Amino acid sequence: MRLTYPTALVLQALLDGHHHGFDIMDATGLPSGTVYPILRRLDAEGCVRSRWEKEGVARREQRPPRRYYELTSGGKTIAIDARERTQAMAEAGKRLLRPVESEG
Amino acid sequence: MAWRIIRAAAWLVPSRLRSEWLLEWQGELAAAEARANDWPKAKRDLTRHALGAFIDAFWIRQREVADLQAIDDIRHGVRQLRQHAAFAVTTVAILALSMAGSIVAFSVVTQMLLRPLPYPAPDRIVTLWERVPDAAGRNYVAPGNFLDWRARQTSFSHLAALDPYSYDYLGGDRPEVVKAVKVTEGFFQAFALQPVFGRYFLPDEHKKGNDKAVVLSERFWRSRFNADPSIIGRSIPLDDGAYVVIGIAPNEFQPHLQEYAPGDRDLYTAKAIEEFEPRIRVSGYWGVVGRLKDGVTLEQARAEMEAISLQLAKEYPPTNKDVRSDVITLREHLVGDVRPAVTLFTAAVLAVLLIACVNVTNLLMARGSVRQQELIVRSALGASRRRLVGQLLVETLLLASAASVAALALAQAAMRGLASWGPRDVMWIDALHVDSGAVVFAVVLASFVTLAAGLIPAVRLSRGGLQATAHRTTTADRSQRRLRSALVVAEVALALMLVSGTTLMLRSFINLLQVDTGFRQDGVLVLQMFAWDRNNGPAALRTFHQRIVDSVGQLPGVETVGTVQAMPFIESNVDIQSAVRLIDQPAPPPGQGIRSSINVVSPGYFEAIGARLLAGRLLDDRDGPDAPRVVLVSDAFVERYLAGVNPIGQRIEYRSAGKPAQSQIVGVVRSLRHDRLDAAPRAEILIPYAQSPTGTITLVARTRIDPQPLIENAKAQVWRIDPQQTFFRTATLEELVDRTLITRRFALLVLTGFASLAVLLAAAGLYGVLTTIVSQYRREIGVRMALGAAWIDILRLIVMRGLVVSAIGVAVGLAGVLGGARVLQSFLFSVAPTDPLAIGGAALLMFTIAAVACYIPARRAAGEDPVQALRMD
Repeated sequence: MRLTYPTALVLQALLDGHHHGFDIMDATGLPSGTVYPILRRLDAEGCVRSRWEKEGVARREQRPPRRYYELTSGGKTIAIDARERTQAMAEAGKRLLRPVESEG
Repeated sequence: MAWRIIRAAAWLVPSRLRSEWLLEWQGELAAAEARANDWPKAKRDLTRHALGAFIDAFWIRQREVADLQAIDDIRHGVRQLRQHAAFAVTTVAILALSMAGSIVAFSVVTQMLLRPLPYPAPDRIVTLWERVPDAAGRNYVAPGNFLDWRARQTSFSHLAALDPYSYDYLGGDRPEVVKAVKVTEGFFQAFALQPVFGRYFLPDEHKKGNDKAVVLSERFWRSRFNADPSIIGRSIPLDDGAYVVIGIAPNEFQPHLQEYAPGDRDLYTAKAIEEFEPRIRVSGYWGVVGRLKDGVTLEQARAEMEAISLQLAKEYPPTNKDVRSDVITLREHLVGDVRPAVTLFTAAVLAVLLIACVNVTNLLMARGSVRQQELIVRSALGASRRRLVGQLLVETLLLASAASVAALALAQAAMRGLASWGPRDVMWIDALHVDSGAVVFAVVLASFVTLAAGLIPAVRLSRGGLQATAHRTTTADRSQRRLRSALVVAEVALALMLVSGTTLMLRSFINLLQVDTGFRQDGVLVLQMFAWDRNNGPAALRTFHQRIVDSVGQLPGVETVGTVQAMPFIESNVDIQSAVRLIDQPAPPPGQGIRSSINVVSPGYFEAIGARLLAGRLLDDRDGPDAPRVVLVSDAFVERYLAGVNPIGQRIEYRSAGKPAQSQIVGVVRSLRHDRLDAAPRAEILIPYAQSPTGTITLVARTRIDPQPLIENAKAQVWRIDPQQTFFRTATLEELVDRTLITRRFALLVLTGFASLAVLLAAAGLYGVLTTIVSQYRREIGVRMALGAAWIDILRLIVMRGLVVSAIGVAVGLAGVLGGARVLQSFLFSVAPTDPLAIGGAALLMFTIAAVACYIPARRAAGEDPVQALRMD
């Protein structure tokens, strides 16, 4: 598959535990107009699967449910592979990505 | 905002996926909103994120549906235009220039003509005027008439008069003039705008003795008192005493009711009606404003006021026989005068825009013939007709969009220029800017231009493409040529209309500059002052007057000094009128008495301003306070009231400072223009200062050198006599006259710009069309020349063809000029809107330009080697 730099960043974000479109945008710094088409392409290529967030979580926070994206096993392989294969990109990615825990 | 953007973008998503897509975006937005803590920043971020939804939606649509190839088309278009940069730049430049004009016109209309007034229920606020039956124009209201109107009317909840005034403010380092207005009861209530602090006048404060109350303007309050609210209740020193500050009027409050007191007021004081004012019915100088009662229409108010003024005409026939009233809305009063200029401007802008569209159409067609090959290939490869039209339109849309961005920038620059160099006295001109409305308009305009300029070429070219002809068909060529000739006709016609409008205005302007003003403008300095405060009584005024005349006269560079009460062309030039009786003439029939302007002048005035004596003698030192009373009259007075009589020696009676006076006419001077060059001269009676001293003094000095730098010296001379004297206005006479020409000069400048642009575009269009025609005729020309035709015949053939097209354009344009004459009428002076010289000249100019535009390609063709031409193709 075509692995562009923004695609690699999105894969990293998913690997690091960001599961919603806006969270991935925050984590990668990419604009929505870039992140969403990438997610859709990864979805179509079977690298990610998406489902709706659990009703209960949304109701507790009094908002509509969000779309939840996660890597498929194939996707995970590609993501790890991408990270290992291009060390430089991973370095850049680490610098760009903030760990999910610090967000609270 | 973000939610609305999402909903708009959702329409791009194929309906099958739409609701789920929408839910996904809404879910994210809701979550992000719930998390946000820095709200303004979050709002900006969300809007930006939401805009990305368009890309997402496009992406999905592109993948899901094959019918929308917009992105593809755009990409293709961009590539095309990048490869033909010269064409793209030319087109964008043409469109940007003309679209900028349209955006400015649109902004002027929305931001000036349709601007909401800052008052509650603004359409209920009206202004009232005097008018003469069956005559155009409105006049200010005489105090006596206002008081009767107010007492008798039932249509208005508030009806108030305002009397512009100036005070010497003594609270600063140096005495200075502050602009004020005295207002009667109900003035602020008519506008219904709350004060920033404090209150407005109480009814009691409009009584003599209680009237030392002042309302400050917010601007004055901020600049002099640092916006200190504790000023309320304190008093400030104004010329005749201490005035208690009772309130602050907000900045939005700008009544602009009087032309001779323009601009913002610094303060408002309570007007108490003076004992003499109910008797003044001849001179109108009050502005009147009212608020319509609920349920009363403008027409009803008009009818009532008409009835009241008819009653007054019966009760006071000598003064009121020809006085009626006029009621117009405040908005009409504020912007009504600007409307003809805006109409003219819009017409010019529209003409240029259309010419530009025609030119772009021409350019697209010319390029189209080059692209025919590409289109043929594309249609052979299976592109549908619809696809090709869409593709061509997208290209034009790209050009128009680029042009609209450039046009917005140009429009912003133009409006800044308008604000700094345009006519100052036009309300709100300084607030013009590119606003969101203008941006929306630019988008609409770009779509309009795309269709207007792009549709014909797109449809035509796609047809040519589908025909897929390997050889050219002459019929297609011919119909294309006919179309392009029609476009040139339109261009020439529109350009002719603009050019003849410009020549008409130019002629008016030249006529105006040649008007005999009765004075000489150059080398005159003017100091206007009000010297009533410290000079009580005629004797003191005479002394002060003599001292300032002598002292300014001693300045090096000053030739002569004189003074006048009503100074020509100065802003605060009040026309004081009086009923006049000619004692030695038979009494006129009742109701047809004479009214004349009264002015007070010193002997030196005539030489200083360069007035010309026509008969009798000028005033001199003989005409002292105890000498027999004498006057001069203007020749306009003689023409109107003493035609066929020797005016010298005639005795006249008039009222001066409220008292009747009898004098003898000793001389006639050439009338002086007073307000504008295009206004009729006043019938004027000129009284010697010594016999009627006044504190309203404008000192006029003729100088041997440039008067501008002498102004400060002249002020210093006056301060040596009275250090507290203030100056209401200082200027050179040239500046004063020039001020009245700004609007006209500006209109002329704008129209000249548009006309030049139009001529240039039309010439380019004509040249382009003829070049194509010539290139299509090359074979024919070659044959003819091979058969022995002289090159002059060929030249004639081609030039004739061009001239026929231009002639049709000129004919159509002339029809347009005659049809549009009415729009121009109000801008013209001593020249008819159908003036044959101006219009003929414009037609000739267009013809000459057409001839040149034809000659160049014709000459080139005729000079060509026939063998070359025949070998072509």
